[in-house]
Order: sequence, then structure tokens, then C-alpha cells
Amino acid sequence: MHQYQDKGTCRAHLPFIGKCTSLFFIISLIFLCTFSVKGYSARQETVLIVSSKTTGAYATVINEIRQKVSNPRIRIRVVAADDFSKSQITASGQRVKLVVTIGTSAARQVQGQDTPVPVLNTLIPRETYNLIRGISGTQSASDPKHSVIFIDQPLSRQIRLVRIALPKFKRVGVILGPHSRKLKKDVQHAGRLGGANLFIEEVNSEKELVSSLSKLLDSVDIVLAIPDKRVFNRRTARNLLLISYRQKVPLMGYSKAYVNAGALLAVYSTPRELGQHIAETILLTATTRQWRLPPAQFPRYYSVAVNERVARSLGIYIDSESVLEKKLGSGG
Amino acid sequence: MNRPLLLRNGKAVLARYFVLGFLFSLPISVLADRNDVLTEDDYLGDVPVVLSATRLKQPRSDAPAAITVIDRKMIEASGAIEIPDLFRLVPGFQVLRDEDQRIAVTYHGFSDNLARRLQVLIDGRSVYSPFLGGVDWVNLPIAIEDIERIEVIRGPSSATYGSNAFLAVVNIITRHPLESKGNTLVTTTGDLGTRKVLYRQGGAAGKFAYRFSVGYREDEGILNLHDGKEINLLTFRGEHQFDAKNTLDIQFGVNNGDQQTGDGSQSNPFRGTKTKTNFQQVLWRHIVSNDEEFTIQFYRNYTDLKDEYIATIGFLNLLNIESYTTERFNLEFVHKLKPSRNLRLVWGAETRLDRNRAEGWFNTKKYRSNNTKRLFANAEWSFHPKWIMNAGAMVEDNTYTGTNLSPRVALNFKVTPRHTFRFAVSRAYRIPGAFEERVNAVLKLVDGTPLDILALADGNARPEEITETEIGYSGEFPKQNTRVDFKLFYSRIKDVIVPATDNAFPDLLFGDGQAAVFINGGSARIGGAEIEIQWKPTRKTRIHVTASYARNRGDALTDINPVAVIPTDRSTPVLTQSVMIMHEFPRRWHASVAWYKVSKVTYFGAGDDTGGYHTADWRIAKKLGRGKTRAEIALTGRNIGKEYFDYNKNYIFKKQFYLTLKLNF
Repeated sequence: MHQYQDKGTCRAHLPFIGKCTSLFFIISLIFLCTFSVKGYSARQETVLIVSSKTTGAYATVINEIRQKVSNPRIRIRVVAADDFSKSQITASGQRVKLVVTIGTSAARQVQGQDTPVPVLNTLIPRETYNLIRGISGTQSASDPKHSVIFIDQPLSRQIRLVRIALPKFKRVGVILGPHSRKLKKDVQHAGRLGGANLFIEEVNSEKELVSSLSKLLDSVDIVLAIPDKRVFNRRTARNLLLISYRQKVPLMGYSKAYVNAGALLAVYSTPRELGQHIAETILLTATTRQWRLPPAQFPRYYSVAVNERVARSLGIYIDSESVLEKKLGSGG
Repeated sequence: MNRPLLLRNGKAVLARYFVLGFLFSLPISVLADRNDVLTEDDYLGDVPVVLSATRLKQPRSDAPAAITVIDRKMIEASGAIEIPDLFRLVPGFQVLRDEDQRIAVTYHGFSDNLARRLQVLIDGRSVYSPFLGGVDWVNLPIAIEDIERIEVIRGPSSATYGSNAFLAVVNIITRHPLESKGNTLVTTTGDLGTRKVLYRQGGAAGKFAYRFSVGYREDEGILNLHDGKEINLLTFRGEHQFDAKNTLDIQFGVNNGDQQTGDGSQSNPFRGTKTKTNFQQVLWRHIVSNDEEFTIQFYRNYTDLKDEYIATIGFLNLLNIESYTTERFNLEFVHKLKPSRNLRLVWGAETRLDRNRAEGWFNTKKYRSNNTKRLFANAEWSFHPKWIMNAGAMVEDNTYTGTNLSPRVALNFKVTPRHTFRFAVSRAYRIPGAFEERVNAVLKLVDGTPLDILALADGNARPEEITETEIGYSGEFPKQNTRVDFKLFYSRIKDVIVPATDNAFPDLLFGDGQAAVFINGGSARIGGAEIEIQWKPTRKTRIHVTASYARNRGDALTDINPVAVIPTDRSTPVLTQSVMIMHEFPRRWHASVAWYKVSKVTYFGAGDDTGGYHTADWRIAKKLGRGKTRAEIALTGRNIGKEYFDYNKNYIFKKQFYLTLKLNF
């Protein structure tokens, strides 16, 4: 794609060439062009995308990256995580400057092999990133050689959405499981900043979930779902949604699918939005010497999903998705 | 050779490997178990739709009728001992209590001690008695502690619920198994010898969740009356979730009640009655898509009352058999769908067999059966952002009275999203119970010699018919945390089935020349206004206010040969009011007060002029413990103020106190 652009540049010079010498010049220009293209491609640098899968949402992300990374200097190569090996980076002539992983298994695959170039993990939950990277606590260290764009939204953004969408819903309930418990301080901090009155229940297993939820539902206006594979996952979504609906307490989900399933609202990033953010990060990184990565980031672009049917049924009045997106965006 | 050595070393190597493996496996195991780790799939993947369009409840403002909800908190705060106590919180509802602890719940009066014009469903299962009509509240196989919510549709709703959803419909929704995990023990002791205990356990195993409750309650009844009771019950509810689209809800229950009756006279001696009730219910729900689901439900209800005694009148020994057995088999199919963004449809078909055996009432040991078939459809059409139309009808055919069509049309106009006006017209029918249809009560000597016919129904009664026109308003005032529902209504009731005394009845061997005959002999018009206000002045305070003003005009036949009528106006209290205040104090103290007032009323049957009464109940509770083990201790005071009666002047309520201890563990 970028090579065609170069040829076009050559063709643009043709009208200025004298007729008698044209043949010689054309020949030498073609030669030069070819040489320069060859030379250019030699200077092109490769961003190797290692993707957990290359279909569905992953394909959307990859396409978005390809479209948005319009820098002729950067070549995008995609390899499926299962096919990835370190030799693809070190092989001569590849000039791989950055590895971008898409998805958790890709991150694991690359993490397993000691890559000599900077790595940007994407489409990975913060909890899992920290686990793979062996980072304790919730602070992801700043490392120009290894960074991440999480798939999850920052807690502050979620709480801000609750406050914007449902100003009267001050009492926000949160259930933390054995994994998400690490987020307790972050949750409390985000709650304080957002002006929400937080009610936190900690559970150790799925068994305790229902009783904790029932207890929580007595005293809160909305429950904020924070994913935890042990307790708060897609399998338990049904019970959570049913019980909270019966108690007339809405649930704030963490994905579009959760909202479709019955959560009242969620802030989430679409694959395209994530792709755009990744593309921008690649371009930014490419401008630095030695491809220095920015610190860990939460998704820059996001959407709001509202389940209007659930809102109506619960007698809750809520702005439309687009209005909320605007309000959430303008709030910083 | 080398082998033994290798083996010997091998053991050591293996042992070291295990130790190392164990050490390493600790931190790595978290990583290794990939199912335990969140991935992007949790954010991008699908979640099966739980609250589908068909599952979501119609918001109150879109509904075609006025709806009152009594939730768990109100149930607890009310301090109710028996379920009917709760209906005093519903606008326009009255509770009538007669000797033998016979309780009736009615809307706008117009009832005797068997409220036949109100449909009652527990989790979609009708508990309306096919024999007597009305509901035997005391012997329902349900514990008040297992009720999650009660939804009352105030107004005729035969278009959705079929016949007998005449004045109103009560939907009792029990706790879902998922909401009852763990163990709960509730005990109550109090005045009138009241002792109640209920144990509930809930749990889950894989895709199956269950709860069961075992309960016992007893009391000595009202002082000076022989009407104590001992009741035990067992209920079970289980839900099996096959997959995201298929669930099976299984319920069964048994209730055994031993009650005292009789006034000690020779004709009505002191004695005991036994009521055995049980039910089985299976519901399969299949979700086709987000916009479509169907359910198939089967249930069976069974009630058996044993009450046989010898009454002596003068020198005659009479055998009185008041026993009866009634059984209902019901199969129902319901299909809900949302064919377009603006339209929701529900249609269904139902078939039912009611059979009743009552030797003493039917003068035969044979079953008297009624077969009912129903076909219904209802649509909710939001044809304009500000307008919603609910229209539907039920066609019903039954052995006793043939075919009826019950339609309903309602238009809801949303002035703003928070303020809705409703215009509705609805027609409903009440099919006579087996008693009203087939009674042939004959006074007999112990040896079976018939003496006199006491009551007779010729089986020609038409169903009672009601047509109600309603203008409603439903408003929300979020700044004041207030919700208001207002309703103006006018109903015409005709073909009321009455027991009229035929004063020229051809006697049998011996008699008084009289008999009660069940005929269509009454009509009435009831009109009025109702308001319900729910106000939450603070986060910790809830105030619930209801008021109903109703006027009844009409008459009912009491005698034929010669004809005599009574006006029906006295059977509806002009004013019915309630106020309930609930507040959470610091340190987990909860307090509530409820005040009820019903103006002068004389109900049908043995109803005496109440002269109007008002009463109040209060409750104070303290919650203890926060973890898995929690407790609550509550003191309830009932019937504060002057003594009163609400139906029969012998059935008088005085101050009562109850202490309740609840443990969750």
C-alpha cells in the first residue's frame, strides 16, 4: 500500500521532463524509483501485531489499526498468537520495532518469550495484566519497554457515569471477589472523588454471592458490577440480574453485552475505539527515539450503553446514550 | 543391572520433583488455571439475555389498571400475623374476619365472609376455591415469611386473568430460591396463645436452586369463642436452569389445619375440623430470543375439609356433613413476544378441570365438575411516544355457564414521562362456584331420612358481570421523592348471584316451608375515587398513604314469594383509609406505625353494622449481627385503641402484643 504511494510520487515528476532525454530519464527514474522504494522499504519499520485470534472483534481492532496507522514508515504485520515465535522479531530484515499484543493469550505468548523489542499489551483486563507481569497491587509500573492499554474502564469513569446519569443514586454498591479485592482501595478512592457513598461487600466464592448481594440491595441505589472470575462473571450474571431486578435495584455492567442482558447501563469501549487508541499509541511511540512506550493507559475512547427497557420497567428516567456520552466526555 | 539403580534414584528424583513442583505450583497455579483469569472475552463476549423484553414488567405508568405493590419491607413493617392483614394497606381494600377465623379480603366491600369477587394467585396459581368461591386464607399452603411481594391489580381483569378476576386481582409472589440461601428461623409468641415457628432453608447445587419451609402456628382464637387453630405446613420451591434459555420451576406444598368450631349449643356443638390442602406446580420457561418466550405451566390444587357432627334439635338427631373435597387441575400455555419495537403481545390458552365432592351439600357422593377452556390475547401498543394502548380479551367456556368474552381497552397518555393519565374500560365475569351452582343441602336424620331442603341451586345462574370505566393518573415527583396514583372509577355490576329465601318452598317430610335458592338477583353501581401516595421524605423514612371514597347503589334480593330486597349501599364503606410510616433509626433500630380506618359498613351474610372503626398497629425491631449470622428481634403491638370488629359483632379485636425473633445463619 505504501509502496504504491511512492510510485505515485515518481509519476508526478514526469511532465517536467524534456522530451529528448525523456527515455533515458524515464529509465533512470524508474531505476531510481525502484531503488528508492527499495531503500525506503529498507528504512520501514515493522510493528508486529500478535493477536489471540484474527477473527471477530480482533479483526475489527486489527483493521482499525491498519487504517489509522497511515505512516508510510510503519509496516503492520499480523501474526496469530499460536504462530508467534521470537524468531519473527529477530529474523534479519524484519526490523521489528514494537510488538503489540491483542488479547490475553497473545500477551501470555509474548510474555513467555523474552522479546528484545518494546511490547504493548492491549485488550487485556488490568487484573490479568498485573498477574501476567507479576505486578502486585494495582499500580502498573511505568516501563518504556513494556506498557499496556487495558480493556477495562477506570473506576473513576464508571462512578462518574453513575453520578451523571443518575444524580440521585448516591449509594453505590460494589461486590468484590477474591481477585477484585485488590481494587478495594481504588474503588474507595474513586468513590470519594466521584462523590458516591460506597457500600462494599467482599465475598470469597460464588456461594456467598447471593446473600451478599441481598444484603447490599437493602441499602444501595445501584450496584456496580466489577468483574471477578470467581464471583462476578458471565455465568453468575443471570442470578445477579434477576435478583437485583426483583429488588428493583439496577445494575451497572461493564460491557455492552451485560447491558443487553439486563444491566441498566455501562461504559465500555468498542473494538473500533480500542483499535483507534492502539493506532494512536503506535504512532506516538514511533515518533520517539527507540520506540519508548507511554505509561499504562485506560481506554481513551468509550461509549455508553443504556438499556431503556430496563430503565422504563424500573421507573428510572435516564438520558439517552448519546447525551450521556457527551456529558461524560465533557466532564473530563 | 542398571534398572534397580534407576528405580532407586528415580524415586528420589520423583520426590524432589514433587517437592519442587508443589513449591512452584503455589504461585503458578493461579496462572495455570486459565478459567479463573479474566480475559477480554469477559468484556467483549456475549452474556445471555436475562431481562428480556418479554420478562420485563410493564412499568406502572404503562399498565392498563391501577396497581398497588406491597413489598417485603412493608410486609415486615406491618407486623402482620396472617396474610390478609396486609391488604389493609391497599386502597379500597377491606378485611373481614368472622367466627371460625374465617377471613375475607374484598375490594369496595360488596361481600360476605367469603369474598367471591376477588381472584388470588400465588406464583401464577389460582387459589380461588372452586367449591365455595373466595379464598380460605388461613389454610393456604404458604408462609407469610416466604412472600417476596404482593401485587394488587385494582379493577376487573378478566381479559388477562379470566373469570373471577372480578373486582380485583391479588398476585402473591414468593421468594425465589436464589433469594433464600442459608437458614432462617422465625419464631413469634404473643397474645391469644399465638405461637409461630418457621424454618426455611435455601441452597443451590449446580444448576439447581431450592428452598423449603417448614412451619407451625397455633393460637386460641378470639377470647370466648371456640375457634383456636393448629396449622402446619411444608412448602418447597426449586428451580432448575438447564441452560440460558430453559428453566423449570417446581413447587409443592402441604398444609394441615386443625381448627375448633361450634358454639357449644346442641345444634352447633363444640368440635374440631380438619383441613388438608396440598398443591403441585411445574412451570417450564423457554426463552426463544430476546423478544420471545413461552411458558407451560401445570398445577394441581387439593383441599379436603372434614367436618361431620350430630346436631340435636329438640328430639331430633341430625347428621350434618359440612365436609367437602375440591380439586383443580390446570394446564396453561403462554406465549409472549415483541414483534416490533412498539408492540408487545401475549397470548395463551388454558384448560382446567375443577371437581368437587360434598355429600352434605350436593346430596350425592358424586363429583360435581366444571371444565373451563380459555383463550386470551393482550397487546401493548406504543403507537405514539406519548400514547400507549393496552387492548385484550379472553374467551372462556365453562360447563356451568357457557361462553363469555371479557375485553379490556386502556389508553395511557403520557403528558410527560413522569405524569400519565389512563382511560380504561374493562368487563369481567364471575362464574358461580360449585356451591352456588349445584347446592342441594338437605337436612337429614342420622339414619339418612331427609327432612327438609335447606338450600338449592338449580344450575341456571348466569355469571355475574361487571363493567368498569376508569380514569387514572400516575405521577412521580422526584424532587419530593413522591409517587401518586389516583383513580376515578364507575362500575356496573349485574346478575349478582344471591341466596334468596324462597318462602313458599315445597317441603319434604318436615320443614319450615323455606329454602335458600341461588339466583341472579342483584345489581349495583359502585363509583368513587381512590388515591395512593408513597413518599420517602428521607432515605430512611417511607410513608404510605391510601384513601378510598366509594358509593354503592343497588339492591339484592333476599326473599322470593313474596319478593323482598335489601339495598346494597351498606355493604360498601364510604371511606377506607390507611397510613403507614416506616423509619430506620440509628444503630439498626427500625420502627413502624400503621393506622387503618374503615367507615360504617354492614357486609352481606352475617355482617353486623360495624359503626365505623379505626385501629393502629406498631412495631419496633432491632437488627443484630452483620455477617453470616444475623438476628432480628421485634415487638409488635396490634389493635391499639378502642376494641372493634370488622364483620361480626362477636369477633372483637383487642390489644395484642407479639414478640418475634428471627435468625439467619
